[in-house]
Amino acid sequence: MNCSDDTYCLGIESTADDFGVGILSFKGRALANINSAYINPEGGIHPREASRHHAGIAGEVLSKAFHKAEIKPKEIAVVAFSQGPGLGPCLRTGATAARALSSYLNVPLVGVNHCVAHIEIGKLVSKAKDPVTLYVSGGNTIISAFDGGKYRVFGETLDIAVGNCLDVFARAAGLRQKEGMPFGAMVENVASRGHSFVSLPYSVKGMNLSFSGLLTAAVQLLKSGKHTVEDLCFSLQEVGFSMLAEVTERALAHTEKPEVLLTGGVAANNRLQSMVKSVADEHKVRFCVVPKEYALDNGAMIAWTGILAYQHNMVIPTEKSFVRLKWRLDDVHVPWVES
Amino acid sequence: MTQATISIDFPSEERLKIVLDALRPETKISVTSRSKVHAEGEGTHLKLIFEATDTSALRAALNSYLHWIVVINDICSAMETTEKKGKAIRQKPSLTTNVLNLCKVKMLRISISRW
Amino acid sequence: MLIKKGAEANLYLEDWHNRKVVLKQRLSKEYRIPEIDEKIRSQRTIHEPQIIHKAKEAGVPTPTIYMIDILDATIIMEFVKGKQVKQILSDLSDKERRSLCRHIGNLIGHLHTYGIIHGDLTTSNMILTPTGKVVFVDFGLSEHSIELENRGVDLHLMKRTFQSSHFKYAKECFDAVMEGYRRFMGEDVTKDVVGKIREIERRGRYISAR
Repeated sequence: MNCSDDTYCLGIESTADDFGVGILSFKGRALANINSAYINPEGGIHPREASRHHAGIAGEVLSKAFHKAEIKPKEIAVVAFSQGPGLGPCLRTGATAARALSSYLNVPLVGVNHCVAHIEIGKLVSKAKDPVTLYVSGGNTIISAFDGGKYRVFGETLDIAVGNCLDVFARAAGLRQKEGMPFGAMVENVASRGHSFVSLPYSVKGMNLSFSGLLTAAVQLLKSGKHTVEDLCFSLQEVGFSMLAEVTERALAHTEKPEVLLTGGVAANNRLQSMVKSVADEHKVRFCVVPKEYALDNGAMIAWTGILAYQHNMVIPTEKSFVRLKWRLDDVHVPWVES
Repeated sequence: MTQATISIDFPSEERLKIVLDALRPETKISVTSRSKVHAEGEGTHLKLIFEATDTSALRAALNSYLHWIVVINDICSAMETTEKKGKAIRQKPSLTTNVLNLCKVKMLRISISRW
Repeated sequence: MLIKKGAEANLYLEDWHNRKVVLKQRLSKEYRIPEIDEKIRSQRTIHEPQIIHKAKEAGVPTPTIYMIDILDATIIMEFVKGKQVKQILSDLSDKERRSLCRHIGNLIGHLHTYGIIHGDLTTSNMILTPTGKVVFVDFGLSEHSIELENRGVDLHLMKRTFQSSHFKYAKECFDAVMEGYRRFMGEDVTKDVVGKIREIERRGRYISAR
């Protein structure tokens, strides 16, 4: 492995059900990106159980990351961690691990906003410069774009995240989650066999979205037994994703940005990709989708954003490195992005 | 009110400093009003004092901190083995033996009192 | 002549029986399946003129509707001369800006009292005419409701617009909107709505999966 750029940042991700360690060079080369997911066979996340999982595998994931990166611990110049937003127990476990590592290595600590990290790694790997970002996962549904020093939120869910909507429906439909096959992928799979559209509530309020009414209606129809699971999965996706596409389009029309960036766990869905691409094509802007490894919660995105923040002196003293459960994307100054 | 104290002896002062660095911010912000934790260190000796309104809150706090101490020590031993270029070997013992073994601690004492 | 290529509809400036009119055509979207596409377009084409009319009854200036064509998802309406509030907000003095925002808040109060939720309260959808009237346009996402939740969401979007498009004056503008709203709606209702907006903000921030 070439070592021409010999300054590295190690990032720890631990906001929800994934614990990840990424090691990146300051030039943006990913040396390692090791992630371990807590899988609840019953579905859903139990914050405390997830944090126990993280506590149990933190050392192992860290060792694997160094092994993969083929660098020595003393070559790490800065440690970054996901400071929020997220689930309390998970965040606190990740933060504790990050503080211990920063103290052990005697290097500075940087707290990173999880949502900013998704955008930054997306820009790095897709080479997008100034996109409208649609970030869709089990915990977040955010449409944002940079303006005046921050990533502004143009639209977001008013209740549950789209990924959560799909997960809960999948569970209600009796689908079982397994390793490497998240609920979203299973819904997509089942939906591909559906063909008859069932009308479901479409809820866009300006640029904001609501998925709870959609979920409730879909679950009720499921229980009524009048429709097949295939048709309901198909209709749920069509309605939910049409809502996302519409809001993305509104943000594009409003901001006139040159790119659309699709990221987060739900970004892996082919139907969603084709819809957002269609929107991008119509507005003659570039469509970028983040590859799964970097679209799911991961340590690399924290490391990369940590580098950007560190280069702008955004180091935090260990004793003040409290986690921030509800840290908003648009609360974060991003001085590394040129206005 | 219920109170508990955890006393742990670490193999070195350096190790205790790392543990304190990692845990102190968590003791400063309480996630719940049902328990609070105070951490103090002297030499190689760590003392965590827990106060809770009820036993279940006490148990939750104790569990969290014990897990975090395991995490901290896992991180440190992962670093030590990585530095030695060796591959880390992981076993999954119970929480208490884990704390005792992996911390190479000389003593772990948990005392619980109620008033 | 195409004057605005929107996300949802295109606006054309046309001559129609010697009148300058805006022709609003809701576009078919390739990304949607026909079942959803047709439903959204026709529903919004029927719905928008109805609500625009009702807003007039509530005392809020809106464009006059001349004709609708459901099959073509087209509405022909009055061309409102003036400038979008979005364009002129930064050119105003602090005092003028506050006064304009108070007036906007007052008009939103009229809508809400009359059971109308605009659904897209952005500064692009408000036109300041040369005579100083503020005309609300684009009721494409509006709905009938007197629910606190919907009022909160409506105003929350207004707040978000200020924060995203006018972040320099976001606070003063939104405070002035709420002041105008309060003067019309009264202290009690406004207090509830403000509480609701806060709740919505908290909810949207991070919703953990169950």
